[in-house]
Amino acid sequence: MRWFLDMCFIVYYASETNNPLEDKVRILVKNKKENYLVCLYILNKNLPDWIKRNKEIIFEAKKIVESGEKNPNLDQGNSILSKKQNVQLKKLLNQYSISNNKKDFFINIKKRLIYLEGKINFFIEKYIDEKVIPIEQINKELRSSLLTYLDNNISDANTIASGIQENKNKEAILVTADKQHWTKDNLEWALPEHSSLRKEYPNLPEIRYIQDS
Amino acid sequence: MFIMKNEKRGGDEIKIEILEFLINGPTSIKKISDKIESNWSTTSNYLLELKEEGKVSELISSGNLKIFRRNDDPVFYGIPIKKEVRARTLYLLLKIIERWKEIKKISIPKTTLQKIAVDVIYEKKLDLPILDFHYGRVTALAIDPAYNLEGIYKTTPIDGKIVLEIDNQIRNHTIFAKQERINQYKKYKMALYLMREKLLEEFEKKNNIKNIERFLLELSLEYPSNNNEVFLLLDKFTSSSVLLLNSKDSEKFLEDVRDCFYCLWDLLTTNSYFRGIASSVDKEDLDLFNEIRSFHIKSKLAKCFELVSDLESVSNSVDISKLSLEDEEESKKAMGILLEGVEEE
Repeated sequence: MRWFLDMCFIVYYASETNNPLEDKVRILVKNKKENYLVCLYILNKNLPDWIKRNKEIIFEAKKIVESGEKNPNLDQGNSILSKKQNVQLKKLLNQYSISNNKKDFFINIKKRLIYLEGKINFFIEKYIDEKVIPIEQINKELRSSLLTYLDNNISDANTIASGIQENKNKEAILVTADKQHWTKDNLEWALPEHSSLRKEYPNLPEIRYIQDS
Repeated sequence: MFIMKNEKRGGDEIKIEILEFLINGPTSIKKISDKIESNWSTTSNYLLELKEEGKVSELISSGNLKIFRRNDDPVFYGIPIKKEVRARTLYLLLKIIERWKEIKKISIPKTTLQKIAVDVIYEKKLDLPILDFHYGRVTALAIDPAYNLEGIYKTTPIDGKIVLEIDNQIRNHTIFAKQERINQYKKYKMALYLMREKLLEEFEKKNNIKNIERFLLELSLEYPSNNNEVFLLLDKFTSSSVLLLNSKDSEKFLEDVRDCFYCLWDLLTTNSYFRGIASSVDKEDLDLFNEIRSFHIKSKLAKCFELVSDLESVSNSVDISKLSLEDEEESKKAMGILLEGVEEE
C-alpha cells in the first residue's frame, strides 16, 4: 500500500505540543507497513515556506516585546505577516505576557522550532520512500478546478492535485488530518463525471484521516 | 608625437602622474592609460613598478578589467565615494588625531579614532556616513593615525564648533579597543554586536556549551529570516549548530561552529557595510562600486556557503531521535500556537 502524505502528517510526527494527533502519527509510523510518498510541492515549497513563516512570527513577536509597545495595533495587521500569521502573533504575545520565564521565552521557542525542523528532515530521510510529482508537472487545470472547492487554498490544491496525478500512475491513499477540505465530495465536485478532467483521472484516490486511524 | 611625448617625460614623472590621478579614487588601467596618453602595455608596466614599490595595488583583477588604487587611499575597500564625503570625513578624522595628541600627549589608536568620529557625527548631526562593520560603527574612511595623510588628500573643514565637540568626546574615550567597542555597542543598543562579544568569550572558554547555544539562539533572534541569502546562511548555521551542540560529542564540533561563525560574521558585516555606503557613491561610479562589492561579497559568500554546507551535512548525521528538549510546558504551548491550523497549510 502507498500512502500519499499531507504536510500535517510530517509535522505531527516531528512536533511535541501535547496534540493527540502527534501520538497517533508516531504510532502509525512505528507500525509502518506502507510506502510513504510525499509530493515535491510539499518538500520544496510548502514545508520550507511554513517553517520560514513561523520564524517570522517569532521574530516579529520579539521585536514588539522589545519595542515596549503595550498595545500594539495588530488588528491593522503587520505588513510582513499574513492575516493568519497576525492572529498567531497576537496569541504568542498573549502567551508571553503570562509567561513565568520571559527571559527565555523566545529562545525556547526558537530552539523548539529548530528541533522540529531537524525532526522533519529526519523523518523525510528515514521514512519517505518516494518523492513524487515535480512542481512544474502539476496539472494546472486540475489544480484550478480543485481551488474552487478548497476555499482558494493554493497549498491544498497543489498537494491534492499531485496526489490525484500520482494515484493515476499507481494507486495511492491520501492521508491527512484536514477533514474539512480533503473530502471525497470536494474531489468529486472538482472532477465531475463526464468532465475532461474525470476522463483523464477516472479513479479518484481514497482519503484516510489520521484522527480515525 | 605620441612616442615623443613619452620620451620627453621620464618614467618617474609618469608614475607621479599616475599617483596623482589615483588621488581621485580607484580607476581602470584604460582610464589611466588615456590620462597619461600611453598604451595599455606601457601603463601596465608602470603600474607594476608602482605595485612593487608598495604604492598601488589592484583592487580588482578579472579578465580585462583591472582596477587600481593607491595604497594610502583612505576609503575602506577603495570604494569611490563622493569627493566631498571623503574630504569632510578626512577632515574630521585628522582633527581628532590632532586634538587627541594635543590633549593626551600620545597617539590615538585606530579603534578609538573611529569611535570618537562616530560619536561626533551623531552628536553634531553631520551629514556623513556611519556604517556597521566588523567591530561596530565606523566612518567611511580607515586611516592609520601613524601615517600622515595631510596634504595628500583634500580635506573640507566642518563648521559648527566641531573642535569643542571633539574635545568633549575625547574625555569620554579610552585607548582600550575592547572597552571602546563594548561602550559603543551599549550606547547605540547594538544587540547583535553585544551578542557576538559574549559568544566570542564563550568560544574562548570552551567549557560552557549551553552558554554558546544560548548566545547563538539570541543572535539568531536579532536578525530576520528574510530572503537575503546572507541571512538564510546564518539561519542554516544556527540550526545546524544548535543540533550539534546538543549531540553526544558536542565539544568536538565547537571549533567548526566557531570557524563557521567567524566566516559568517565577516560576510554579514561586509554586506551591511556595502549596503550602507552605496548612497555615498556618485551615479557615474556605481558600476565600479558594484564591481568592487561583487568581488568582495562573492568570494566571502562562496567560502561561507561551503562551511555552512559542511556543518549542515554533519548535523544531518546526528541521530535526532536521541535528542530531547526540556519538558517545558510554556514553550510547548507557544509551539502549539505556531502549529495551529497546520492541517490546512
